[in-house]
Formats: sequence, C-alpha cells, structure tokens
Amino acid sequence: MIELENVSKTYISLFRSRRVEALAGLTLSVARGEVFGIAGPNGAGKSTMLSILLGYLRPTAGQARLDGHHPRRYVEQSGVSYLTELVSIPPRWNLESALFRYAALSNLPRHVARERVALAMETLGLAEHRKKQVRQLSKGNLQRLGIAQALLADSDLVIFDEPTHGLDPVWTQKFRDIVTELRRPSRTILIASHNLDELERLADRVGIMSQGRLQRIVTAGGAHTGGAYRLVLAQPVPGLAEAFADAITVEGRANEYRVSGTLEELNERLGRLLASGATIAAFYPEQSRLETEFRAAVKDSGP
Amino acid sequence: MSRVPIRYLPWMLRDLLLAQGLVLLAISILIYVVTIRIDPTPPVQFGPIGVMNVVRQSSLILVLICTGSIVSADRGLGYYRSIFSRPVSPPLYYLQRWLLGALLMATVVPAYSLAFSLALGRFPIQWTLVGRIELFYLLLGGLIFLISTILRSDWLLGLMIFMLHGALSAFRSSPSFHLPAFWEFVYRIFPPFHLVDVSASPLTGPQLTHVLLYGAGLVLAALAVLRWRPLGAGGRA
Repeated sequence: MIELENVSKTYISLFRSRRVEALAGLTLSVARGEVFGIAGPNGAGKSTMLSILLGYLRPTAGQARLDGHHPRRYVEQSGVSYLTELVSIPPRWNLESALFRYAALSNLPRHVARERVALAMETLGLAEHRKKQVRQLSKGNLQRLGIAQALLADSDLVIFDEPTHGLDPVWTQKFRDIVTELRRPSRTILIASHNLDELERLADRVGIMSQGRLQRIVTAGGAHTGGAYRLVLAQPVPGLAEAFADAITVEGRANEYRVSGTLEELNERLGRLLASGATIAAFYPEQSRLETEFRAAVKDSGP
Repeated sequence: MSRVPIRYLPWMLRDLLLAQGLVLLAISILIYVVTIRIDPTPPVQFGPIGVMNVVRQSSLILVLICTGSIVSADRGLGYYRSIFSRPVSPPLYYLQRWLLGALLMATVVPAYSLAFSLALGRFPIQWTLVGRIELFYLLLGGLIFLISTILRSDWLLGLMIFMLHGALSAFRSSPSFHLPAFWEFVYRIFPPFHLVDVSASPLTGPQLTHVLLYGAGLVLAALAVLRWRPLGAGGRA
C-alpha cells in the first residue's frame, strides 16, 4: 500500500541561506492489513514523511506511491482517514457541524453521513458537546474530535499523527480499542507517536526514525533479551544479596531493586531467590523492548 | 468518486452568506435608511446615480472580503490538512468557492435596487451594472485568488495593485503629465481595471475580450498553481 523509495526532503529558505534536511534517503514499504508505527524524537522527519504521503509536500528526491499511484492522485480518488498532529479545525464551527462538513467533503450521502456522524460522536463520547464551538472544547475533546473526523470515511489508508496527545488514560485505552476494531486485511494503518508503549501495543512493526533516516524497523511482540529489570519483593529477605549481589535499591520505592543480566542469568538468580523463601511481587524490564531499540537507534544516529 | 466537492456546496454557501452576505445586507439597509432620510428630489434621477455610486464604493470592499485569504487562510492555519485528505481536488474546491463569490456579487445590484425601491418606490435593476460588477470581480477577484495561492497578504497586495493602477490611470489621463516608460509598462501589464469601472463608457468588443481573457487567465493561473504546487509547500511540515 505504502511505498517510499529513497525519499529525501530538504527545506530551503527563500534566499537559500538555510537548508534543513528533513528526510534523507528514506525507503519503506508497508503492506495492506498492517498496522505500522513510526517513532522518533522531535525533528526526526515523521511529519514531513506523512505530508509527503498525503501529497502536501513534494520530495526533493525519490518517490512516494500509495497503492501504486502518486499520493495526491490516490488521496483525491480514494481519500485517506487522517488525524493531524495539531488538530486544526476552524474555531467557530460547532462540533456536530464540523463532522457533517467533513462527511460532506468525504462525499458521503446525507443518510450515511448522519449515521457515521452519530456513530463517531458516540464512539468518541462527544455527543454531549455536539453544539459546542470548536474553540470551547478542551484539549482532550478537541483531540477526540480530530479522531472522530478521521473515522467518518471508510478509507483503506488510515494515518494517525500523535493520536493520544492530550487524551486521558481512559480515552487512550479506548483509542487502542478503536485501532483494534479498525484492523482489516485491506486496510493499512499508520501511527506516528512519541508514545513507545502505545506503538508497542498497537503496531505490527515500528519504524524508528532519527535525523531524517529510518534507523531500524522493530517487529512488535518479540521477547526481551536481557538488560536492566526491576525486581519488587513482598518483603525484604536476606537471600537477595546472595542471589543478586549487584542489586541496587531504587530510591524512594520500598523493596524495589534494579537488577541486570542476560535472560539465563536472571532466571537462574530468580530461582535461587525463590528458593531462599522470597515472595516476588513484580519483575519487569526497566525499558520496553521498543524503548531499548529506540534508545540504541537514536544513540547510533547521534552526531 | 467525485473530486468536485458538490456535497460541500451548501456549507460553502452558508459560510459566504453568514460573512460576506451579511456585509451586503448591512450596506443595503444603510442605503435604505440614508435614502429615506435625505428625501431626494426628484427621486427618479437620484436612484440610478445613487446605485452607481454605492456600487462603486462598496464593490471593492465586497470583492476583497469575498476573495481575501480564500486559499492562504486554509494554508496558513493548517485547515487544508483535514480538508484535502479527503477525495477532494484543491483546484476544484477553491474554484467552487470563488464562483460562489461571483454569484454573491451578482446579487449586489439587485440588493441595492431593492433598498432604493423600498425607499423611493418602484426602482428597476440596472443589468449593465450587474455585468460590470461581475467583470470587476473577474479581474480583482481573480487577481486576489491567484495571489492567495502563493502569499498570505493576498487582499492587501491586490488592493495595492488596484490603487496603483488607479493612480497611474489618473496620471495618464492628465494632459499635463507624461507617464515614464517604466510606469507605462506597469500600467499596461496590470489588469485593465479602468475598463470595468461602473462609470466607464460601454465596453467595445475588443475591450470586453481583453477583460475576459485577462480575468480568465488569472483564474486559470490560480488553478494551475493549486494543481502543481503542494499545499504544504513554503513552510515546515
């Protein structure tokens, strides 16, 4: 569905005094049916990449294709469900009319528009705010409106740029449920986010971008291969020092320790700890696997 | 799927009526109030001249508010991102919006005539003025439309060009003043606003062709820019 081939984008100021290389030789392929995450620090080139995919920007070099077509041609024929990073909707529109407007722009017949708008408002919990002007909405409600307008059309390509920005934990969880429901074999879902935990939960693969390059692609769901972990005991036991000689107490957290090692070493030590009569309350990686990969990728690409 | 946003037409019309339409209504009411207060004598002579004067004064403002920021506001404020991720062609979307402006301008003379009718009794619509104001919209509205596809200060630049043209036109018509070659060149490449002034003499065939081709050229150039220049160009993503 998405093909980026050696795409570069350089912003050049009016008098050519400044050049900013936002993308440098980006090559990526995302198939139908896939949920693909894009992670990267600020300025990594994520939004530039999405703008090129929607035909809002033209690459300086290389080419982008959506379902084999030029992005603009694909978008104007099929439409893309798109949530922008900063939700930009005219502030004087009211919430319900904004959704009807976007439904009309999506070319939905009136009766279909009514159903989709009602469903989107119900799904995103916006019905009680339907008559409010956009400028009266809180950050969270505005973000939910942004998601709602993206869900109106039944597009084969869905792009979410920072979808949970400003959402509370309840709506963050609901958004995850929405993405799960949106999955289908013919649909590609692209999610750009700073929230690595969210990407790890939602995406099949995550591309880590830094300095305009795709540093690596991580397949979600893989096992951890060791590293730093947190160990939480129900109560202190003398056997801890014996099993984990290198355990470091986490400041301000009762019975919580930082331990590290390979998976084999950790399993063997945990066995000894349990044998000494300890009750383990929790044991979890200090960083998620994606976070570990992210840190490594960003560090590798550093100056 | 259609790329012409026909289903969005009622929303565009609503926006236009709520903004530009209200201005037109306000001017019409003002005409009515002023006319009945000054008690013109004789009223039949006052009417046509009154309409012409009010059209001349207000058509500039109405064209500016009908076309000002037509594209640049959506680009500058980022609204285009949610609009054109849908199956909508930017040139056709803005052409539809620009044509609605032309439709509103066509109601200017009838609206003023209605106001005069209410104040003075039966008052006929001057259809030649309707044509003149449409040609004025074609030139100035087309110019602002074109500028708006590239720059944010579209209406201001359009107004400056219009005023500079007016000043050059005044100098040219003065027998004691000879316009330097450069300014003569500028005058000639500017849109022929002098031909579409409401008080100008009737247009000859070649003059009308000149106005129509110039205006159509401006609109086509605006559509070409919208077709070939990505909406996100000219700034950071």
